[in-house]
Order: sequence, then C-alpha cells, then structure tokens
Amino acid sequence: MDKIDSMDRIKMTVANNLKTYRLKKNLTQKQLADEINLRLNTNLKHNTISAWENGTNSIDTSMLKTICDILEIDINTLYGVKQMPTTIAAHLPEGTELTNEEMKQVNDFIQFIISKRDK
Amino acid sequence: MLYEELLIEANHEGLNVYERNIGNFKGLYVDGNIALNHAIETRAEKACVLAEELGHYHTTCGNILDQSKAVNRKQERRARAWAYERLVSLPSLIDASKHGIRNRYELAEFLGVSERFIEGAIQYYRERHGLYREMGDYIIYFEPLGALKKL
Repeated sequence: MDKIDSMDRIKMTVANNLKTYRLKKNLTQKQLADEINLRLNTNLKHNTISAWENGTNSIDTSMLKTICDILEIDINTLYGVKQMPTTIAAHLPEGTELTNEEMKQVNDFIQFIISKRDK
Repeated sequence: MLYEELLIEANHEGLNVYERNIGNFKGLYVDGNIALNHAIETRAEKACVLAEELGHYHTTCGNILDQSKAVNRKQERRARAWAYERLVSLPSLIDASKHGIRNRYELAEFLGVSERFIEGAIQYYRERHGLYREMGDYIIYFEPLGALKKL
C-alpha cells in the first residue's frame, strides 16, 4: 500500500515538473511534442503531453533524456530529487558541538541555498 | 577595505556571500556559498570570518560539521591556516615592521584584522616554523613579535 502511494507521488511530481519546466521554456504542449518528434522521429500529439502532465500516462523512458535535454534540466530535477550539498563547514566560537538549534540554522542555510539553486 | 577586497576575491571565484542571521555561527560554508553573521560589528572581524570561509572553499572537502572527528578538525585547521597566510602573511609582517609597528594591537590595526586573529596567526606560525623564520634579508621573530633586518 505504502509502495503504491510513493509511486503515485513520484508520478505526480514528474507530471507537475514536466508542466512547470515546459512553461518555463515557453513551450506549448504541441511545440514540445513537435520538438520530441523532430529529435526522435516519433509521432506524438499534444494530447500525449497533456496525458503526461495530468499523470494519466507516464513518460516513455526512452524519451526521458530527450525531454530533459529540450527543457534543459537534468533527470534529477524532473523527478524532484534535491541534491544535498557536499561540502559544509561551520564556525562556532571554538570547537564546540552543535546544538539542535545550531543544526537548524545550518539546515536553514542549506535550504536557502537549494532554493536559490533551483531558480 | 580588506573586507571589500575579500568580497571581490570571493566574487571572482564565483562564490556567493550572504550576510544573514545565522544564530551563534560567525560564518557558514556550503558548496561555494558563504553566510556571514549579520551581527558581526567590525569590518576587521568580518574580514577574518570571510577569509576563513574562503579557506574552506580552497581547502575543505566533505561535511565537516562534526568537529569531534580528528579528520574534520584537521580540515578546519587547514582552512584557518589558509586565512592566516592570506591576511597575516610573512611579507606583511616585514612590511609592518618597516612601518614601525610594535605590538599586536598596532599590527591588527595595520593589517585590518582583529587582535584575536593576530594571536591565532602568530600561534600558527610558531607551531609551523618555531620561534623565528628567515625570509630574504629579514628574520621574523614570533615571540616577541618583530622582524629584524639581517646584519
């Protein structure tokens, strides 16, 4: 049951992100379909895109990379995977351990960075 | 002056610097992003903190928040050493001596850093070089602090 819930959630995330990033690139559903057709020699109609964005159908995995290329995002972004920063350092008044409050300050800053990065 | 100079340096490296409320922290470094505590009062102090964060950019790799681990403390020391070498360089100590600077207080003002930072830098040099270090025509003494021209 939980597994199905989480699969649905991923589907909806991908569907929403597809729409968001398509609009960011100022493409209509038809223009996106045409661009995919041009690159992959397929024969998609605008209603295919519409079904992907509603979550009624899922994007064909063989088209995933091309779609990301067109929208100029990576697959992680389409799937809503937030990449955590790799290098983190903090300056406290001399080698003390972090309290929960301080950990929260660090996380606030990390969230702030991530939100900037995604814009 | 020094603070602005470091801001420009950070900018050239493609880093983002934010002055914000970060509680007890003086500075934070996260993947090319630097937060400086907006409550830091003096420009000298700001410059010192910014230099340490630049040090992290140049020398640190990984999450080193847990300072109970020796490897993380080592990285922290390395970032600080970078800051000391950058703001209180050995040539700058010779230069200060030429300007008649006699004590840590005057040196801090001359270099535009905090006195505490000077103390850290001197201690760092003592651990690294011992009581003195020769450089060109000069001998730089760390205890007491001074640079003398070789006879």
